[in-house]
Amino acid sequence: MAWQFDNERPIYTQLLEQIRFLIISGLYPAGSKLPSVRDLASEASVNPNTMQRALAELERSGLIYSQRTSGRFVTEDGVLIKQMKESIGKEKILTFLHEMEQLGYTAADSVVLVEKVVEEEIR
Amino acid sequence: MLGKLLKKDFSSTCRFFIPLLGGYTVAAVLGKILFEIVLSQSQVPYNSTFFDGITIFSIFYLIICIVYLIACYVMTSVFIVYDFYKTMVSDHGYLTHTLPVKTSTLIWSKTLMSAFWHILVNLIIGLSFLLLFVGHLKDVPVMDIFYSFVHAIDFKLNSYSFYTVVNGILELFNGPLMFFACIAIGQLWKNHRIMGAVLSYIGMYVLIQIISTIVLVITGNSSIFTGYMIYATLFSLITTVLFFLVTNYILSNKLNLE
Amino acid sequence: MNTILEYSHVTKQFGSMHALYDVNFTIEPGHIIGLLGPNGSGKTTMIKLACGLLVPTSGSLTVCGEPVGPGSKARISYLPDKNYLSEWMKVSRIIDLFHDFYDNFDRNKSYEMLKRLNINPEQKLKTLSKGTREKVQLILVMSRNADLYLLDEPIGGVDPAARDYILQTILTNYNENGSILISTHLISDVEQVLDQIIFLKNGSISLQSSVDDIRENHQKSVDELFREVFQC
Repeated sequence: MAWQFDNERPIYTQLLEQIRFLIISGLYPAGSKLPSVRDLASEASVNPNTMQRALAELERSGLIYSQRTSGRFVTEDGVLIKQMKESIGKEKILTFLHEMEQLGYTAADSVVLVEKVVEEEIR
Repeated sequence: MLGKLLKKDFSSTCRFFIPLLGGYTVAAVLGKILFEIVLSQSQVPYNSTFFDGITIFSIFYLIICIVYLIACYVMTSVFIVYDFYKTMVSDHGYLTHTLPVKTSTLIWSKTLMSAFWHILVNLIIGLSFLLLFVGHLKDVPVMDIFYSFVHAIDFKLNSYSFYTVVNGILELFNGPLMFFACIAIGQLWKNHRIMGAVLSYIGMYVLIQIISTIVLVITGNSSIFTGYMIYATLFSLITTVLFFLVTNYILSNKLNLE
Repeated sequence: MNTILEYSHVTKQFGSMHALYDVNFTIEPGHIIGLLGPNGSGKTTMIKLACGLLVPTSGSLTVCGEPVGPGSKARISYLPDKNYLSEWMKVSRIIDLFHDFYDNFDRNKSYEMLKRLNINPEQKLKTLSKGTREKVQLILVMSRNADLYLLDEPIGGVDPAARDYILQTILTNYNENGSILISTHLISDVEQVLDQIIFLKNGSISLQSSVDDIRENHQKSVDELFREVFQC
């Protein structure tokens, strides 16, 4: 199935985010080998050049590295992955808090509500 | 490449000619059988009603065969033109003209195929006549006929019969190429292309008749037939080359498939 | 690496009407390019010129450095927007035909693709449905290892599932040494597969850009920009 993209932003940026997500969430574990550019592009139904650009950006960020003959690998640096995970997590929380603010909740109220929901979920 | 094109054109034209010629062959064989029956019946003068019936039937059959024979000639030319039109200037042209071959090679293939089928049709029809003689060779003075035939023709270089043969061969190429050139000329218009082809055929036919007549008048007086024949052959050769060049130029440079 | 296709001041006139006017552009290897424009903008004319089905009124075209001719036709794999194959032929027969004429035709690949789509090669073309016939035509084109693929409306008359298959096939056949030009007006379906686009308006190129640049510079997709540019 083709990955979905929204229209206002470049596709390579969205590819970048999607792959980063796959890495952080552990679907592409640390140290593992990534599929080839063509295979990834084919899976996502995007142009291989666009996928290449996304991967180049990820390489620059240190999240993946390439070995000349063997292809591309996810970094073994667990700390880096964890840091990324945290920073993305923080982003999502900030977005959440902003939206809750628009509903009328203060940050503290939001936290209380979160705990309540988590409790209900466990039961 | 020409070989591959010939193979392609052969297999697509076969679909038409095999039934046509196959049917004719069957009709000829049946005709032969009928002929033998009629012949044998005429030796033994009894069972006259059966004999009358067979004779009447065989006359009808002969008429049908003659019609079929004429149809073979006509349909051969018609089909060749139709095939050229279909593969060169209609939708199939999108395949034909994107094959990695020169336009001239395409035209050559069509022309050679036309010559082939015309020769084959003539051969089969000729054989169907000879078929009648099979089993009766002792009754017919074949060798005598053959020798007097050869003597009458007097096949030498620069003789009437020589030019007849040369013209016959030229006609195998001139005939289709004239049609092809007219189809090509018809393509120069955006609409009513078939009308354009028909009109240019009529126009060309008239023009050729006029020029031929002029040539005949000019050269006919000098010596008897052979003088005229040289010019007629030359004229035929020139028009054949011209038709090829026109067709090639238009289909290479002015092609505009719909 | 050689430029695959180059248009240099190409004009094509039909009578007094200009189908293309002073078109200049090049296609480098390794790209999938969208040729986008409304009906009648000259897309098919551009493609036919590259295939040798039309001759320019002025200007010149080169394919891999050579002028258009039998040599360039061997390098180009063209998918027209119509039924251009003899209906009475069996699929296997047409494969044999392509194998005969094109050195770069991969017969095994074509049979593989047919198998995957459950198309029986012994069927005659006229017995196939429209969608299946279009898939067969695409398979023939994509089974060639060409330098340039010219696809004229490849996803036009097919259902969404077939569209996905066609786009997947295009991606699978992509190689860095060749390029694919897709002419279409179904932009949103095709956009993510393209890396470059050309907008053709009334016979002239009004925009030539990469897909990502358009999104960055205009904050909209190519499809949305197209609707703006070509508003009726």
